[in-house]
Amino acid sequence: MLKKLAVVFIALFGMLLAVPTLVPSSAKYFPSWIKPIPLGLDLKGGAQLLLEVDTNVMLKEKNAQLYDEVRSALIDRDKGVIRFSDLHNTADGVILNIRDDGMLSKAKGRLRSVLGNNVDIDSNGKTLTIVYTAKAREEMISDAMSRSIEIVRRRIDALGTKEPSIQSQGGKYILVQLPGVDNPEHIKELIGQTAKMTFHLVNENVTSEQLASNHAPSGTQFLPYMDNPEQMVPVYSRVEVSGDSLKNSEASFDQNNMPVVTTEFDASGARRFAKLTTEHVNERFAIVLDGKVLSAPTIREPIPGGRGQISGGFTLQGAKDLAVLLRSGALPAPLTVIEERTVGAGLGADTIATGKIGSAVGVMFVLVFMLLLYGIFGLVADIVLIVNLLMIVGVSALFGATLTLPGIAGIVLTLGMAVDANILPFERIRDEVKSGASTLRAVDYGFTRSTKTVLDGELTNLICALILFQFGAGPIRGFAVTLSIGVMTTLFTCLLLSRIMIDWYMKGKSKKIGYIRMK
Amino acid sequence: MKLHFMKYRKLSYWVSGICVLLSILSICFKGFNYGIDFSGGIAMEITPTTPEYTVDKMRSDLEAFKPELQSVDNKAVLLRVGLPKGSTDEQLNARVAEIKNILGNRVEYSQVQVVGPKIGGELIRGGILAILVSFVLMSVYIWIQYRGGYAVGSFVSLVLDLILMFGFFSIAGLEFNQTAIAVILMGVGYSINDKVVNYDRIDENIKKYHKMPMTDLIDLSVNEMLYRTIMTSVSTILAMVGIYVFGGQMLQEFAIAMTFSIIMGTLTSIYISNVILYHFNLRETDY
Repeated sequence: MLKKLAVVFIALFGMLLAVPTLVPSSAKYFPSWIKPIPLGLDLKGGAQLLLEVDTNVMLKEKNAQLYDEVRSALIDRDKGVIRFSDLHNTADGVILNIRDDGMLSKAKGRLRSVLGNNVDIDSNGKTLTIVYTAKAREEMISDAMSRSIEIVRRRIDALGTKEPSIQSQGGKYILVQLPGVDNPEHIKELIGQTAKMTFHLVNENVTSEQLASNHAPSGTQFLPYMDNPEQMVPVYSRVEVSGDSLKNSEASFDQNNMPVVTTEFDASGARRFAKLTTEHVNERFAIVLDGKVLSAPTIREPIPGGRGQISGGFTLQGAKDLAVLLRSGALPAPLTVIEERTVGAGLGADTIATGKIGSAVGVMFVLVFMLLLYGIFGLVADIVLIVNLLMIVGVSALFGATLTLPGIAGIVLTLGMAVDANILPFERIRDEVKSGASTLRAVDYGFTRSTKTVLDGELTNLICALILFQFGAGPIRGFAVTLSIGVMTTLFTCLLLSRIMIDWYMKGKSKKIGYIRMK
Repeated sequence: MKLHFMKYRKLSYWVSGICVLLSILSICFKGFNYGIDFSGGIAMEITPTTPEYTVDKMRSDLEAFKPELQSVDNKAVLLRVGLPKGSTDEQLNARVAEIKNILGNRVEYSQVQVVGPKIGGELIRGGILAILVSFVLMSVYIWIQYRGGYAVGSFVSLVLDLILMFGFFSIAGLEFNQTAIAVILMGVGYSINDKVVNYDRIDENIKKYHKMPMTDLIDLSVNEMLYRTIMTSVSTILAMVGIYVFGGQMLQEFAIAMTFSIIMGTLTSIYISNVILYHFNLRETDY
């Protein structure tokens, strides 16, 4: 009896969970954890972007950093210079030769103390190989992922998009979902920029011949202008101040009423910027964004306050975008949009409407079919089926499983198959009745014998759904969740609930009724 | 009424063999109508804001991109642009921006899908892996619950199902995309359920009738389950008919493919997966 009550209670509760989804206006009467089922972007309209984080570029930069650290550790004057040769980057670290055999262990000791436990240091004769440990790499990548997500979020927030969802997917991807966005081109443009800003001095000693032949002297790079890629600027590779030290940036207008970006450094950035402008009056410095020169103004006088103004022939929108990018920070690794799916809000609404009608008609067909086949037992099956449908919706809502278009179709399919779980015991009962068993006995026997069958069939299905979830992406995963929930509710409703209802119906019927109308 | 499936099992094998051959030939020579999910590229559903902007004008505007344009319901236009070999994600994104730039305000975008060159390969690998892993796991489950012979039987018929479903997608020219993978896996799920239910009865009858010859026993079991097998698939197909007729264009291909896989799963359950058990000695306790 207690078990029966529990079953009925769970069924009622499961159905209750579906109410906010079916009647959206009722949501306010429910506690906050009973929510309507969230709709996928294919149903409510919006843009979805899949971004790939290019961690190779970041690892390369880390390798370059390692090179610098190794070099400065070995030529440290205070601790004594350790002479070496042939220092160069390999695919995953640096390699060098120590000149003097006797210094080998000293070199290793010093590198270990400077570089810490993030690196493996191996020696082979005079050759030292220094690579980041696998663990350190993993940390760098996961750190880059979380920072990238944070920065993408800041950039998108700055554009005022409502309820964006930004999450990592599969280790190196970021999935961005923007409900209500019809045309994400501008967002794509903003996300696609690394926005790494650096300030360099311009090397005025470079001759025009050198520029023309593209042979940069060591320590100097030729970088193109942002708005005129043909024209190159020779800048020293050394970074004087970097965009990381920016505290704030805003779009505004200069005295000629041209759009510019005003920037403000933090304390240490301001100090470095002041030093730079004091020591290099009447020289040029270049403001470089992602390898392109925004502008290369001449320093007229020292700038002590840490405030600057970047001009670069911006449009107002360009200035605003740059300000947003600088405020949100540079991405640790370049991002590429590798997949875009946008559904206009109108189409989304149409899809819901037709999807609803189609599914409703499909379910109606099944209900009528069962009624025709099994009469009063069919009615029981129908009620169980409707409870099942409501429970799928309710439980999906509880887990926050997103409902997508394939998900709707999946629910209908689940219901079609749930019929099987009803037909199986009914057929058994019919067989028993035919062979002369009393109705009550037949019902008991029918349900008991078919339980294993139903269980095995549904569990193999569950395996299938779990695999879909594990290997599928995007809409397929949502669909797999719906399918798994469907298997659970089908087992519950068909094995437990329908038994209770049949028992209840049979109660009070005399045992003499050896025949039940089933066809 | 009793149907003799075992008597005609050679015919079943021949028919299946021919269908498998046709499927493989179609897959090899005709191939699949890959959606951009797999091939990469751009697919847009756009609606001109003015009636003057016709498909022909669009075609000439976008000539440089060699687009495929197709008008739907006299209103919306499907625009597809393939991905030239060796192009990068950046180039693809630049193309999208350029196309949107050219079309400008003259169209509204109902749907835009852009899939880069790398992601398609990952989807194919993921899909195939998913299918294979699910086959193995489901067979293992059957092995544990029943006996090795059943596991082998279901595995063989699942592979048959799979080849026929891929063949169907190829022959019918249905778009092969992420949803197609889902449909195939769902078809597999439906089919395995069918097979398990039938095997369950065979297993029960083996325990019940110790002396009955295997051919008669399988025939008996299949006949006992025949009504249920057919009714379940009719009911599921009815649900798909509802979706096909009223569910709108986007769900139609789904409903067609699903209906095919239900019919096929039912047929292979009746004619193959049960019949094939004859070749395994299921009466041996240890297999």
